[in-house]
Amino acid sequence: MMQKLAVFFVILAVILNITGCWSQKNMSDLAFVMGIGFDVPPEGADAQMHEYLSLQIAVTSAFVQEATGGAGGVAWVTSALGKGPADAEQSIARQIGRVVFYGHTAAILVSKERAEKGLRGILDAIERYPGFRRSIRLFIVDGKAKDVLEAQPKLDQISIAAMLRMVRHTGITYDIPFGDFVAQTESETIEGALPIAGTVPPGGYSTEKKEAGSEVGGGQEGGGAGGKQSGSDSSKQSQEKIVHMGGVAVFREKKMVGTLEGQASNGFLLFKEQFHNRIYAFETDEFGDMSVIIRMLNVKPDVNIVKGRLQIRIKTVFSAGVVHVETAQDFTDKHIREKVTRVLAGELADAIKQAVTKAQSYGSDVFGFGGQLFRKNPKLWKQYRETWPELFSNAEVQSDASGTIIRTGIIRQSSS
Amino acid sequence: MKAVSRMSSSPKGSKTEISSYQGVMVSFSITIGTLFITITREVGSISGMEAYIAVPAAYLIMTILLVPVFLFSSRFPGKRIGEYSQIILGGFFGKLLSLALMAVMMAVAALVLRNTAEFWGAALMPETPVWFFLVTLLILVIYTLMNGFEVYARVCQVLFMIVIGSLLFLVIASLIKVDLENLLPVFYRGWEPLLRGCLRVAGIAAQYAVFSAVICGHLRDARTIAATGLKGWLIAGLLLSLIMLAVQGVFGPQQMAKFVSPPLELAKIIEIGGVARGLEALLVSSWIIAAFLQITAYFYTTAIIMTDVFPRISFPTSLLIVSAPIFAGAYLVNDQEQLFALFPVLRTYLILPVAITAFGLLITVAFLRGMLKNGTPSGQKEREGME
Repeated sequence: MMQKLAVFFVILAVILNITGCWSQKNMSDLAFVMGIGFDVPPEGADAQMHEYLSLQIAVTSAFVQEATGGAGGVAWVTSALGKGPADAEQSIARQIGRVVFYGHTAAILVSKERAEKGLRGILDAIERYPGFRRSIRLFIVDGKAKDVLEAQPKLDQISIAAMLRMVRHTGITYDIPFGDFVAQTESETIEGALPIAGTVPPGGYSTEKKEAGSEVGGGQEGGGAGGKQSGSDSSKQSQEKIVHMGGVAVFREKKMVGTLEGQASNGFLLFKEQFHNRIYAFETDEFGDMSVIIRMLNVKPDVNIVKGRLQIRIKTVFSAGVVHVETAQDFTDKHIREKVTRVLAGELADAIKQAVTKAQSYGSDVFGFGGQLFRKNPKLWKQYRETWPELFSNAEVQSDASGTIIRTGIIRQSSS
Repeated sequence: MKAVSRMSSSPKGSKTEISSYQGVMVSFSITIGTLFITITREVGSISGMEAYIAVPAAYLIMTILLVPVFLFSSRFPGKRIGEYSQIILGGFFGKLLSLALMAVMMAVAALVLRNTAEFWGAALMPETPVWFFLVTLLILVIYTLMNGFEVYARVCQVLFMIVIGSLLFLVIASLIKVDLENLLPVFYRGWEPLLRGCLRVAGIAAQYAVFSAVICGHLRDARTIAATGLKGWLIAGLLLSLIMLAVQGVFGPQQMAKFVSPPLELAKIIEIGGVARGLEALLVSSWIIAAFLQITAYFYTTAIIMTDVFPRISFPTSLLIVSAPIFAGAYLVNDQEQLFALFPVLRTYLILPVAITAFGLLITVAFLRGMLKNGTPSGQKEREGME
């Protein structure tokens, strides 16, 4: 009898514990959030509403339509104001009539304007919620975060998917998971940095649009994009835009303080050894415009404090392949190869130095030189950690690079 | 003689004997269990950068606490601490000592039960009330133990392979994300952080010593107790050290101390080849199994000590008796923060002193009474006398 009773209880426990019970999640009751956007509240909004939240929600019925040949967008972006992220989310839940589900959320976008006010509340809300993974990505948007969520990439179904592809597979922008960024912002020895995204018109850059005052920077890294539309036109125009990545946002603690763009942005990615298998294009006196593909990078920083002044030495070792040279060159000549190597080394060292110099102007040690000092000499770090931003800003920077040109493509001599 | 007859009347009679291998697997329920969930955070917050050194160091150093267990096991083969304490200290004081050990293990059982319920709820079923987890676990634990210790040992034998496999997988999968900069510099604040971390782990050694002193009576070959006990302790130490290293290497000491459960956060970010993600549900399921086995170990320890102290109470009755305060203790914990505050207090200021005092007292009195002299084991003598 006792055994039967025990078996009954065990079966009961198992039944209660399988799907159902209190924590059940019914697919049809959920709104699957793919991306989240944070902007500053629009002008004229209630002053108590500090957060303007947009959610990119997967239209699940659209996936069925698409499979059966129907038409319709697969994502819908909706926004609401709130006293904080959670309050704004509740407002959205009231609009959509479904339970907001973050299990598939892959990226969070914050507009520059919002990031400059500080990310503390946003980071706390994301970090505290168990549904988010620390591997999701955080982007700063040059313009409105909502515009990027609404952008319609041509090769992906939703903008968030395109952005993740850019980060994870093509490696064209700074790749940092949310968790690592939070760790940086909370660390004493390094400051946080995030990639910048924006929108551009599909089909590339048009001279007409540039003349019309667009901020699109002619294809340069970190040129920034979009974000200049205003009022109700913004939403309509963003429908015709695709996502563009470039530049790095620099933080001090949890507040955005500046950006690294163009060569400084490249220098930052080089320093972080995130420039693998990417084309590096530059202008030279000797070879005209030229491009190389960076195959290997090894960046070793060293820090020291001499007479109260921080000295930063950065040594970069690379290997690269030539992709394009403007002037005819004979790469069978050892001296030419050595010359190209020297020119490239100077270019890379300069890019890294520019990145550091720019970060110094913000007083933000996004490179983790503080960590270098801490690991090298913890006692010295303890002595200087309170004044580190000032020490870093006034540091003397020396950047050197050396390496090899391992390939010159599948031709050895250019035809003259 | 009394002790021998009690032994034969223990639950499921002859079924209570287990092999040395089963003994190792059973000991994992205390030495691994769900310890990795909490201890990584606790040691991380205390030791900081030295946390990954504190865990293996403590496991090695605290092996010393197991020596009395092995010693008494060899002097009183086939007997549990509840039995030989009465032989050494006499009926009254032996029972008093056993009751003290039972009380502390009961308190830990309550916290472990609540911790599992909290973890289960937080990780998998956030909307389910805590009492549901507590009752479910209680029913499962009682049902398992009613079937006898050997059944529990076989359950451990099978399920701990899954748990250990999941932990090794976690370590291997996270290797690619380990940043060696999170592991240096060490000892820049002196030795204190390391020693404080070791002290926290020492509480676990005390728990394990008490548990070993109970299960040693079940080993088929009592001579294997030292090997079994050491394997159970050191293998778990190695595994926990690897987990600690992985967690600290990936998150760094500062972040590690911030999380409710660092290994869970680690499980959430691992992926295989950029394709297989979201594996935490699988891993967490195996950890809840480990938690169930851990709670069962504490229930068994307290219930069996009770039968040793009060021989007239049968094992199933004592199991039901200890269930009530354990459940109440688990249920009465107000919130997560109170739970997290109670764990270290209990381990460091209650279990450790009680275990050290108990074994110290037993060794001293046994030595003074000449029970530790080389020759025929005391338990053997009794058995021979009985025959």
